Amino acid sequence: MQETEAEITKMTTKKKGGLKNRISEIALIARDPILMTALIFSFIFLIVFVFYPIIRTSMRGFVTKDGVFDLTEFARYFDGTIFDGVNEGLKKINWVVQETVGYGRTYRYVLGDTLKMGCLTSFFGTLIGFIFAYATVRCNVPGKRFVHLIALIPTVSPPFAVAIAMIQLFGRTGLITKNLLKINFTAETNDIYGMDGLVIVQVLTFFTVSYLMLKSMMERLDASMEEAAETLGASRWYLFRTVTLPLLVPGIASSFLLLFVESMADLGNPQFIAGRVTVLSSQIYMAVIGEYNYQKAAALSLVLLLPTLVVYLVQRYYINKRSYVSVTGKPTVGKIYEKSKTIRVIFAVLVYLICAFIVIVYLTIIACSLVRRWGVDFTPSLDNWRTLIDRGLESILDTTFLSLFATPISAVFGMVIAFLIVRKKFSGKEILDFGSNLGGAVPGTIVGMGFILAFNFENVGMIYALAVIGSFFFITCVSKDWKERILILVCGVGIGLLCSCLDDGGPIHLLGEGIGLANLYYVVGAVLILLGLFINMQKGYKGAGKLSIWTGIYLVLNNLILYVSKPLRISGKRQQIRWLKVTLQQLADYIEVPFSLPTFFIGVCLFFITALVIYQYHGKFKTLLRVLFLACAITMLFTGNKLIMSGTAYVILFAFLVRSIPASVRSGVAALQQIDGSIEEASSILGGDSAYTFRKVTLPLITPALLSGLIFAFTRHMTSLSAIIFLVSAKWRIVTAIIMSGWEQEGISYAAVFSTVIIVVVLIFIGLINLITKKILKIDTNIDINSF
Amino acid sequence: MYLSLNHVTKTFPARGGAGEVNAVHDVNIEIQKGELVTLLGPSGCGKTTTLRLVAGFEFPTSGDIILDGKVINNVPTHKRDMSMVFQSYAIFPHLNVYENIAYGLHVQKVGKDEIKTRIDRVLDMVHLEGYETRAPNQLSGGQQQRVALARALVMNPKVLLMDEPLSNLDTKLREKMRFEIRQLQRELGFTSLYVTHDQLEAMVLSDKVVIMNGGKLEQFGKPREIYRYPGSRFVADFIGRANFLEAKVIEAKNGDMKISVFDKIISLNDPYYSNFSAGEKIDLVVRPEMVNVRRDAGKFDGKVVTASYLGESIEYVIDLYGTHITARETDPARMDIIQEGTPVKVDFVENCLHVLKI
Repeated sequence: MQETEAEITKMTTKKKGGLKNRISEIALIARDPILMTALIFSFIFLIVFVFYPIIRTSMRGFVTKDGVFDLTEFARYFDGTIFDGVNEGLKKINWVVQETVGYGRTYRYVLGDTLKMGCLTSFFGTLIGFIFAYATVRCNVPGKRFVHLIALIPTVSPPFAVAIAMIQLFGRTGLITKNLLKINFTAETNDIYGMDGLVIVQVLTFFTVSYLMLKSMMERLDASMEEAAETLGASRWYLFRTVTLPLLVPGIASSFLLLFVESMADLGNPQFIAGRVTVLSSQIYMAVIGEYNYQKAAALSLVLLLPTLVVYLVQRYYINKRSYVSVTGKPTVGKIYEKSKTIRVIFAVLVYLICAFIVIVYLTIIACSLVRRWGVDFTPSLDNWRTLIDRGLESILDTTFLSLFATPISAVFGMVIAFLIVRKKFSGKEILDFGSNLGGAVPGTIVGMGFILAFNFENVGMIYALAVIGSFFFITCVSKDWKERILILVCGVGIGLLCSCLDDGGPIHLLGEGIGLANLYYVVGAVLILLGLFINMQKGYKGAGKLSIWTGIYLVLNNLILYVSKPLRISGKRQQIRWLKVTLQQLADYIEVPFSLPTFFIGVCLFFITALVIYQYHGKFKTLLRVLFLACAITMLFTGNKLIMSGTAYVILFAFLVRSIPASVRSGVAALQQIDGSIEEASSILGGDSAYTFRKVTLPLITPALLSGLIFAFTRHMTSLSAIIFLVSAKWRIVTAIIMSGWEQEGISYAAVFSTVIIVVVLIFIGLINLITKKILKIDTNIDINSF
Repeated sequence: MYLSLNHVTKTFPARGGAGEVNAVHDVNIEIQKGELVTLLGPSGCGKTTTLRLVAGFEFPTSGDIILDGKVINNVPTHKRDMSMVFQSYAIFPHLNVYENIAYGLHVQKVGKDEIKTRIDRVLDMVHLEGYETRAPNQLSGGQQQRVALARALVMNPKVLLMDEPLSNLDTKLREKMRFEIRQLQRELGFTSLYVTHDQLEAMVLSDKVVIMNGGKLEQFGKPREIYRYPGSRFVADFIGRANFLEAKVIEAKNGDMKISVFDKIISLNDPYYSNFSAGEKIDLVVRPEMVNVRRDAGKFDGKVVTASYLGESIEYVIDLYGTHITARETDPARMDIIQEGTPVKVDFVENCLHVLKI
């Protein structure tokens, strides 16, 4: 047997350049066009909506609005320090073209306060998270389930809800501070505003992250390890110190780092409660909203991004690799509880106190929306709600609609990415994994900034890149013969480019005045329908053109839908009752949204859809059909607005997706890792291709994860603020952004009503999903809002 | 040949710190229609990878896999017309027994009535009538195994692949299933490739056995051939057990051999050994059951080192001129144990011995 082992070692340690094998891996995936589609589409999504905007933001900080290279914003940090000389030097060589003197103090204060806030919040947040986790997992506190639910409330509320409540309780006209304790305030000394208030608020908002993380870790600690230590004679405290704690260190460290990032990225709470303290996120917000200074905002974003990115990488590649506790395994069977009664009581009391506080905080928000003027006049009244119906109904409808619309997309797309990451072998998997998480990990402000910078302007370069990737995919997918591939490429791209000028006649009025974008939709739609019908009529290809026909119909509907939405809008305008009027008008908008995908996005999708229609078709005129299909995709890609999306619903939708997909991916990955891969192989050897397998086997098995993915996504959409605050427009209004911009004029009660609405909408959604799970799908599972 | 592997090599590229792995190296296997061939070897020998190459879950780095005259290297799994029984059974947990078995037929869009008849037939074969509506988690391990088998059989596959299908069953059930599978295979005459690390299973089931080690094919042949004439020390030791003694050929003529071992002469007579020549150094392969340990008479002198009573037999370790060899006494009439330390006489059952070139 010794020989055998030696043989095996020799076999496994052989190292050689495996480039050829890697290429053959790709070729292997390419054998299954559906898989290839999923893969390339995911990469395109990440490139366009995650990497590209983040890179745009990072670069913008180095360029003035006139396009000159400039390090001013970074140099300002060093003003008034020993580096002044360097700044002077940089000015001489024109690397710094704006004034830096006088800025240093403020810039450094802000950075210092931000870091201070991050450290304090992550320390206390982790501490409270640990107390909650230990109490629920190890102390078996009575009412565990209740404690757990209370701890989850902050995750379903808008990011400034706690701040609002704290101001109402402890602010200058707060219920407790003014009305009960009769304290007289001197600004900046003994009030809630400032660093102390900010940290308290952030701890309450974010400790859930730490709690959930440590909880799942403690549940997975193998009880036998502690039992082993006990049999070796270790006392409780000694055991905790030498076994339990070291095993939890990776979890504690990750929690600390994550909270640090969350805290630094938080925009809502500092805006409300920071008082005269300014933190980076508010500074960025002011730079965009107040000064319209994108250079400053982008540069500061980069300053904010760097620590975030470092923390993210450390957490992902260092701590997780050093974790002793398997994160994917099921909770261990053996459970051990804290034996000392004193400790149990202490933890129980602590947890109940914090829970009580959280309950009070949220009750305050609701109460506040129901009285006339909190702090001054406590008469119960529905005035605030009336104001809401009068002025805020559109934004509530918009927010709910956009969140709902993005939710299933996020959940399903997240599952697909998770499937690719867990089940498939390919080079670049790390990038997919990293990229799909990145959008949620970086501060939302950076995503928002990136979206403005990336999608406010025509971007032909990106369109060309997409065209290259798409066409390459199309020709490799539909044909094996190099000559045919080149023929398809040349003709398809040529015809496509020509047709893309049809809308307005093209650059030099190549095609006269053009036929308008609306008619181009009709033309491409009609071509797709006809080609689909033609394929369907061929012998042996019945139903093969179905997808093409549906896509064609979709394109035609882009205009036809106006015949439904316009009358609806007009009848809305005629209504006398305010809420009916608003609802009808908004409804008209919502009907149009699904049919008005940005043209470039339709183009990208067409590459994949048409390739899937045609790759198995070997009937009459196959080359011609392939050329025409490619031409359709190229036409749509190059026509219309070319990546300009600002002011549309889609810029907000994509920002939502970028923010919520990471959570879906994570829940999908966790679910898939629990399922034996051979189950999918069994389906495949019984004849199911990858789409059939995914639909019939994988998806049903990860339904619970999909449903919790839906919940995470919806919650994330409804409560997101920093990512969309720069993207809202007059037509598409988001509640959180409205609160941010309006609360100073409208008063805190106004913010409280909106916050209540958000919480209620989210809770209704969670309730519905739970109902569907239990009553309709009859899945016996606990859906947790375990988004971290 | 119905299914053949021609110089098949599979190299997994280096990834995540691990170096490149040569999982399967230049393997040639040929399987006739209706044969059951077993891939046998220790863990990590590449047998499962070979099976997965045939299934299409992996694709060969070089070499060809040929099924029914066609090279199927590039054919994706779902178009290979094979079916497989997995070690973990891989029963779809969200479908009941009937739906599990019907899965592949649904993919092929077989008519409802035909599905019903075919499923009734396989359920009858695997003795699971009446279990149609059970959920997988209501089945015992053995029943799950039968469902997995039925699901594979109902497809009438060109090749039935089985990846250690019995390894999760307890001993008794495993022995029973072995015979059932063998019987089904004889009755239905399906072609099958079967992976196992259990040599007994391989012996019972197979028409032919492939012994693999370190990614390479060691030997390919009928079970009896492999046991009687192992081609290498590895095979001799892996199939059954073997003592290896250094020996030298004294005389050799058309398989008639005189061999010197421990300075005593042993004679062998088997045309199989016709290519040995006098003076050649060899390994003498002595299986424990070929060693007779006696108190009174024998060719060699030895001493009992340890003696273990195993019920059906007694196992001795004998010190033979400084070399330790294992002997097994299976004669029910000789079940009185010779005490450790006792000097004994030892004989080999000469015409059953095997020799290997060094």
